Amino acid sequence: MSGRMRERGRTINRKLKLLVMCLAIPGKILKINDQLATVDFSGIQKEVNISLLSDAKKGEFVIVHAGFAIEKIEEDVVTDIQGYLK
Amino acid sequence: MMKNIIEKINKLAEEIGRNINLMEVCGTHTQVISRYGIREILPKNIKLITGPGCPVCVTAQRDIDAIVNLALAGVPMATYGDALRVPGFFGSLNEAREKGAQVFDVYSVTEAVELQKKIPDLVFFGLGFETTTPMTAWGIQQGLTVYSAHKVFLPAMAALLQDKNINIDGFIDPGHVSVVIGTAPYDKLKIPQVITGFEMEDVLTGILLLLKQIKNKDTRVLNQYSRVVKESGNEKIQKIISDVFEIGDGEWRGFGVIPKSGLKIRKKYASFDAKVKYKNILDKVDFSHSKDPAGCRCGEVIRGLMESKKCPLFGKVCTPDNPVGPCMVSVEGACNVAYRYSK
Repeated sequence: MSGRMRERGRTINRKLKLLVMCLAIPGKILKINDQLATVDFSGIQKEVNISLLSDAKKGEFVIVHAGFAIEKIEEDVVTDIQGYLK
Repeated sequence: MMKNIIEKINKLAEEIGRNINLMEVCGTHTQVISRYGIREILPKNIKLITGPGCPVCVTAQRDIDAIVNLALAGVPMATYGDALRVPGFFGSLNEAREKGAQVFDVYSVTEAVELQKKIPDLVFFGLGFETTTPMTAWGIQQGLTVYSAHKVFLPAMAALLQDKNINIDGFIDPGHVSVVIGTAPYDKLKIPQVITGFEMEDVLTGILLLLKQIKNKDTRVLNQYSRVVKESGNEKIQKIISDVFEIGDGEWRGFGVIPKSGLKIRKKYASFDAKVKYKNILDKVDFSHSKDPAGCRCGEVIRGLMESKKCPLFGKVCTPDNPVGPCMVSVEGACNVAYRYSK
C-alpha cells in the first residue's frame, strides 16, 4: 500500500469517527428528493435535510450538522491568509 | 508542510517571549486538539485553553431541572443523545425514562418532527448555539413544540474577555457557528481571532495566524476556513432563526445570566413554546436546588479557569460512564475529551 493510500485510509477513518459522534462533516449530494438529500460520507450514505440551504444540487459537497446541511463547500479563497503569512 | 508550520510557530513563540493563552471555543476543535496531541507539540509559552464550546455543558441546571420535571409530569420529551444523560437535581432525562417517562433520543430535528406525527404532545428540548438553533427553528416552523435553551455564542466570548480571572490573547473562533453568522460579527471583539478547519494542519495554521497577529499587535479576524465560512454567513439560516426566535437574556452554566445571549420563541409561535404551553407545570417546580452538583467544577472548566484534570472528581468519581457533571457527559465536553485521550 502506498503512503498516499495509507493517508487516505486514515482520513476516511477519521471522518467515520466524526460521523459516529454526529459532528459537522463534509459529504457529497448523490440525489435530492424535496427537502431530503442522500449524501455520501466516504462510502456511508445518509439522508440529510437540505431546507437550510438556499440551493443545493446533485454532485455538490456540503457540511452536515445534526442531520442538516448547513453550507456548501467551495474552493478555498486563501489568498488573504497566504499574504498574511509572508 | 506541517513541520514548516511548527517551525514557524516555535520561532514566533520565541520572538513574542511571554506566556500566551489561546482559547478554542468549539467542541470539534477540542477533540481535534486532543486527538493529535497539539498541546504537547506547542512551545511551552503557548497555552491552549478549552472554552464554552460544548452546548450540553453550558446548558443551565435550571433548564435540565425544567425538562426533567416536564418528562416526570407526563410530557413526552425528545432531544439529542448527550442531553439525556446530564444529571440534574431531579435526575437526568434517562433516569426519568427509567421511572416511566416517555423520553426519546433523536439524531436530528427531522426525526423529532416525524415522531411528533405519532406523539402529538411531544416536546423537543432544543439546546446549543447557532449550529443547532437553525434546525430547531425549522422544526418550530413545521409545528414542533420546543423547550428552548438555545443561545447566541458571541456574548459568551465577550463575557470571557471581561473576566478578570482569565487573560485570553486570541480566539480560535467556533467553526460551524461561523458558517451560520459569518465572519463580520467577530470584528467587535477587538482581539486576534482566526476561523479555521478541523484537520491538524488547519488548527496549527490557525495558531500560527494568531501568533503572527499577537506579534504584530493586530486584531483581525482571519478566515482560514473560507471554503465553508462566508463573510456574511448563511443568510437563509439567519432569516429562519430570526423568524422564530428573539433575543433575550440567557442563563449559562458557569457564567450565570449573560444579557442578550438567549433565544426566546417569538409570540407568533407561542403555541409551540413549551414554556408557555406547560407554564402550569413549570411554575410548580422548585428550582432552589438548580446548581452544579456537589464538588463538580464544570462551571470553572467551561470558562477556562480550571483544567479538567485538576478537578478533584476527574477520573475518580467522575467518568464518562458515571458522569457527575455535563463536561464529562458530552463527547464535546472538556472533561470527557480529556478523559478519553488520556488513556
